[in-house]
Amino acid sequence: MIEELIDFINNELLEGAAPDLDQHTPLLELGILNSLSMVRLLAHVDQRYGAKIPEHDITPVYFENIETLAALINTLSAKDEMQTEQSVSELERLVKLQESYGIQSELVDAGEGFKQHVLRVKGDGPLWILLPALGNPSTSWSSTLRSVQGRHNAVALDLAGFGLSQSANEAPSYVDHVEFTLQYLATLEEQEWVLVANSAGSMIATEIARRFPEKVKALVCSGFGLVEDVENWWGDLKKMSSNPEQFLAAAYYHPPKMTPALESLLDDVLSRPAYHSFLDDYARQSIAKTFDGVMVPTLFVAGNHDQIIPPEWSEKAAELLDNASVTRLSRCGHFSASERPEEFVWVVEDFLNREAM
Amino acid sequence: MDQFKSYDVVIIGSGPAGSLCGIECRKKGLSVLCIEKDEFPRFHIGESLTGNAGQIIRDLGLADEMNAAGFPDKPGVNVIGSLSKNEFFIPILAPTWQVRRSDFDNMLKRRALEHGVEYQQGLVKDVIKHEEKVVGAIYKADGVEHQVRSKVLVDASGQNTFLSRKGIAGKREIEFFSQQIASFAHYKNVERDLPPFSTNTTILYSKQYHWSWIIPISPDTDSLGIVIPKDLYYKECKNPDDAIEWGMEHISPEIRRRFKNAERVGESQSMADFSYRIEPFVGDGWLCIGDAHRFLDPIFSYGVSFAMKEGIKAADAIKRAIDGNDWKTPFYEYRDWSNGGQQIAADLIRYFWIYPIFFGYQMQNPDLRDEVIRLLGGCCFDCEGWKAPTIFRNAIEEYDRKQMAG
Repeated sequence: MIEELIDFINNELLEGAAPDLDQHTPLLELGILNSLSMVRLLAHVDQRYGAKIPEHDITPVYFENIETLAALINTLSAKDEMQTEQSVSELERLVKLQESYGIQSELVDAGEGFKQHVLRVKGDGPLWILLPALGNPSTSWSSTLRSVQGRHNAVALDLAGFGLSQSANEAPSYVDHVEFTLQYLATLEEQEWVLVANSAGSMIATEIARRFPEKVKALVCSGFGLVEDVENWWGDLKKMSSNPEQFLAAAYYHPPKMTPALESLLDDVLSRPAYHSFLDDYARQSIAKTFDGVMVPTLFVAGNHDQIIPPEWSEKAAELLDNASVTRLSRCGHFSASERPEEFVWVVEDFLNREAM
Repeated sequence: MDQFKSYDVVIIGSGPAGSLCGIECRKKGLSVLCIEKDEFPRFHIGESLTGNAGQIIRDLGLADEMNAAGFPDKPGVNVIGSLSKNEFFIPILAPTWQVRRSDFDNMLKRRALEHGVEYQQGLVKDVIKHEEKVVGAIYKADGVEHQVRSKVLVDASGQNTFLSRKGIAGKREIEFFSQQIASFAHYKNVERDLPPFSTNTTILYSKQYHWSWIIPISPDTDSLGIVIPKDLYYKECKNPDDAIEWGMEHISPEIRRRFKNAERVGESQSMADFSYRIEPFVGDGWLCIGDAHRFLDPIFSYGVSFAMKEGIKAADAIKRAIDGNDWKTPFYEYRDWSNGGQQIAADLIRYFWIYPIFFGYQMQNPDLRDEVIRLLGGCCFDCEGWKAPTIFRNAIEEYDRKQMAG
């Protein structure tokens, strides 16, 4: 187990940067582990060793070095290494991890053969509907969910064709996504929503906001704006998608390095038909009109270093709307909710407070 | 010597601790004289306030004046780790400010005068005792020595620790965080984050006890501090400028980036031996508040907040002591209350330094998050039954046990 953990931490978490790592290397003092890699380490320990570390045991004493961690795993382990279920995907592993935080995973039958998978937390006020970027699973909202847990009601969606949602249509277009999402929203008890969306998810959100202004109390678009030259932008983006490292460099302020786990997640996404079917001809024509007739209070959260949708495009979009503002986040790229999780929630809550919600 | 005057309370020092104690004593109907050695306004370090301090300022009715003075709102604290690769943000729950202390302390002093605190510029030279009881002070003003009598003499002299130096209070004992030297200066043209976070406090650290603060104290001026271990300072730096240069080079590339076009305003300074505690700090006819008995560490900006809280709490104890003719019960209660809160703050700071990454991780745990945010907001004195302080205490004890064994 110790060898395997050394291997995982060195290759997956540290991107091979610590060849000298051994079971006594102080993991915390040297800053080897950070908050993000902690989450991935916990997911790994759970999947590989069946050791779900209770939140109250996540104290530094156990994470001092690999030896202390292995000792903890041994006391918690439900199954040994040999019996590992190899069939558990990285995705399911991440969902399980969310559940261990008290976030509920729900598969909701939305009718017509569509089952919507969501992650849900409970709190007060209108329901936040968290719509991810194309290809991103519901777990991409993990930081937001944990941060608002107990304070706001929120559900994070796996778009049809991605994550753990199930649909007969493997290659939904943008229009299909709007319909699937509305189908799911119709099943909800809560009929007052704050739509919080990232990137392509924002296209779905603006459409719903336009059609249901009485239900959508407010709209938050991050990594999204007015795309004026759609064909060129789309061409560049497609080129970039064929080189994931280039994409990560453009999308993140601190791009994560390519590790086997990240690569397998990306491969999974890129190989899905749904990744290629979203922005069909009709959707590309719709991009330019996506803000027409949106009347609900709107906030754009723009990463100041976003090279996928530059912040200026968010500002242009806000100018088209009567009731919209833009907040730029420093040291942030395309994925503000995961790159600057606390600040993201702060600006959304501040916006909702100003809108008296 | 002239004929002496007599007050219920004589306070040495009119910083935030002294002013708040004076105001609260006046509200309770006590007569108060405050003796301050410096002509105000005067420079002071400690420019970021906690949410708790913000609430105290609003309770004083000073919010409008704070905004009019151009003190920036403080939305929160950014903690940026080594190589600037990981960072987390701690929001402030109760609105508060960043301040230029010369102006801020002067504002509090004026408010104290409005409440009827009498003010005397002068240097306190000694205490007057009647047997074991402190009954007054001797101070020099305009070249002449004066005597003043007090029912309670309050030491709010800050890092001067007057009563300790006079042997009335205990000796200064160094605290955990005393092996460092802080070097600081004010700058214009510092690149800030974008609004609404442009006026955050930013804390940048590289390794244990090597860190830096950036605090915007006015619309166009930022305070930069570099805190490094003493031995490093004496080895590498001849003066505060060297230490600041060392910090820009070694603590985080983010400092260099932000200060690329910055111009220093005024002199840079260094400060050593700022972390200490004094026991006892209450006695018959006297007590100490704020830095006059304890200062932990500047990292979480507790200084002004704790000073004001202690000033308020001490006023309550003073009133009870004077009314009840018994100093022990109220003063010991004040002492225990102060030690309890200070201990929790000290644990929080040590825990952060031992496990900075873990600290950031635990900020994501909803169970602990709210508590930690409140503790960082200055609620260290009002957290009975909370989980986080126990977790931190246990982890520190475990760490210390291992260090001892190793």
